[in-house]
Amino acid sequence: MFGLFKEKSQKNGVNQSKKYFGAYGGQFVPETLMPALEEFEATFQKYFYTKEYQAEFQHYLKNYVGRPTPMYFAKRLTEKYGKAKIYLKREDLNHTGAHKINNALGQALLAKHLNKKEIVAETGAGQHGVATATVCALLDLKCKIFMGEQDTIRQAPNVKRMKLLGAEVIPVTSGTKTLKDATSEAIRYWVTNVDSTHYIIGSAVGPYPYPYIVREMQRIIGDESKAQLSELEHKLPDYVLACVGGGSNAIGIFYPFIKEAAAGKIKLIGVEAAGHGIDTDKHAASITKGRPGVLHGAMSYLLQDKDGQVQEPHSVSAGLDYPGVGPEHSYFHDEGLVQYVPCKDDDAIRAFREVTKLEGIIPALETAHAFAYLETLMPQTKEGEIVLLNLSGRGDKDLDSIN
Amino acid sequence: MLGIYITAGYPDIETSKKALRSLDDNNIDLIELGVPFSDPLADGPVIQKASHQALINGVNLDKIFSMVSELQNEGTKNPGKGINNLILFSYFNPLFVYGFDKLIAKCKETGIRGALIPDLPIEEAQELCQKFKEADLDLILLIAITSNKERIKKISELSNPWIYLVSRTGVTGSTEDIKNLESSNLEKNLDEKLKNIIKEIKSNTNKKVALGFGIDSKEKIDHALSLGADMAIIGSKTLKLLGDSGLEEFSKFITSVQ
Repeated sequence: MFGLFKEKSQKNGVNQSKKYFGAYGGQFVPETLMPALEEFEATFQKYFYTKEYQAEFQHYLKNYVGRPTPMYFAKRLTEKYGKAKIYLKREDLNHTGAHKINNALGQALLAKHLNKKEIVAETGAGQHGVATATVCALLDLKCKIFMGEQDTIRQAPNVKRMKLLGAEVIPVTSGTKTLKDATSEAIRYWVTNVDSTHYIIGSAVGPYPYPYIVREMQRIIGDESKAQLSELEHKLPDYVLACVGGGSNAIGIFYPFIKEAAAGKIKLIGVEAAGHGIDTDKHAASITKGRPGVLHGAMSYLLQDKDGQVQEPHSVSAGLDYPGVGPEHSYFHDEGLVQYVPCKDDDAIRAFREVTKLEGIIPALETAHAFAYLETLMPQTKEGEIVLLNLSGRGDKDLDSIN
Repeated sequence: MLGIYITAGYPDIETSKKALRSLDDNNIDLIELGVPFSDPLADGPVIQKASHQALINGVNLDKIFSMVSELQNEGTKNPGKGINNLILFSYFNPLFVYGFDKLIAKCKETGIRGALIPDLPIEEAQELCQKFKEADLDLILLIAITSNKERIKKISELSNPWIYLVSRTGVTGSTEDIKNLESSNLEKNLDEKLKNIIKEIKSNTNKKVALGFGIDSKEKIDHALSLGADMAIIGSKTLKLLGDSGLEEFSKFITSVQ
């Protein structure tokens, strides 16, 4: 029956209709939300590309967030392998410590045009929650954050930050008490309060237009990287690495390189959380081990059982602890444009410690998954090549989790 | 007319089978049989809990088909009512994974009338509506109070043979159950809005309109019908009774609201 939707996607393929990325994406939500999704898309199309919106957005990105973020040559990490040069895109140096604020800020500015004064968001690691609470403080919007109860414990510092910023943090006690359930509860709240509230989804997931809009707001990571490497090295990277949970940092850095990847000039690699291992039942490797299905409004690769019930994911990093993945990643996977690989908890924690000691940078546990893959990738690279790794967030929040 | 929702396999498979029998004995016009799902986005705490328990009880579509098939074989009271007018209330994913061709065949085989899929808006429903129609099965679509005229018209055309109108923004259940979601939508002009939407639907089509979400008493049923709806649907209220107080109280309540 999947063919039914395949047929449709070919008809309205990715070039003609942005609602689907190949066979993935779509809008599987209750009717109550459809008008809000239509309005959000229309508002985005009307304002996002205007001079006025861009002037305000760019002003805040530069003077408030601290963009462009640096492109840092990781000398000691490069020396360790003695092969390709390793560059780090320093999204951890954004205000609030991760790439999440690019999207939170962009959407909060749109909320103004939607005439909505209240914001709801979900958060896993708390990075998106903190970013959202921050822009709500900045723009004087009321803010409500749903967070899995388990995550409020393992990411306690971020809960304190959100509260200090004036957000209401609501622990979610249903299901696995992690990101999946926080997202479900945020959507339920949104369905109930759709007239007054805008939902700022934190990853490139959810019903159209979210995966598309989040990508447009995060692609600045890849756009800047391209310009910076051209200036520093007079060439594009040979490899681009990013961790993938829902996949917003990855889509942000991959998307501007997709043409080069299609031409075989660049290899894009997304690292999924393999938890205790992909052959156990404790992992969050949605593309590696999932099958197409619908969760939170979109068709995408999904960890599910034979009856289509969503399986409980596991990852040591709260931000990757999600059973689904953004629909555009599923499309990139099927088309062979991006290679998706798994990385286990233990390997991520080892990389977390190593990067901290070698470079004096404490990466987020999410990002540590991408660093861990260097062990596999670097021996295959050659001198003179460039590996670009998206350092999506900083790891201060994770100090309790790794002990 | 009255429709009743229960989650298949809640509080256990035997009790839910007996509840279906009771609904048939009571000549209920429509039965919505909930297929449990791990992530019921449109549901409040009562149906979430029931869904969760049903999954623990091992319920899946094959078990549901067997249960309905057994009930059919044991005999039914009225053509076109009760078990003979039973539709599946299911989120998209369990049906999608089961396979729609297989699903349609099994519905035909077991006498299930069709399906209602709360996370399937018209944008995604076109092909399925066609498939169900060709098989002479129902596929019910939902209209919400946020739907504009254009959407109401399209949904009224596609939904077959009747239309489900969601009585308010929000999830299933009584306002008491979902107060943690702080529904700010208990607006005074809600009735006026619903009346106008029902009028709008009726100007497009002669299909029947069922009103659901938050209906939990005889008064609210009468109120729904007074707004112009042809049918009222009760879900969380009866399901909670079945789970908390048992089959007898459930059946008593059903009889009392008729």
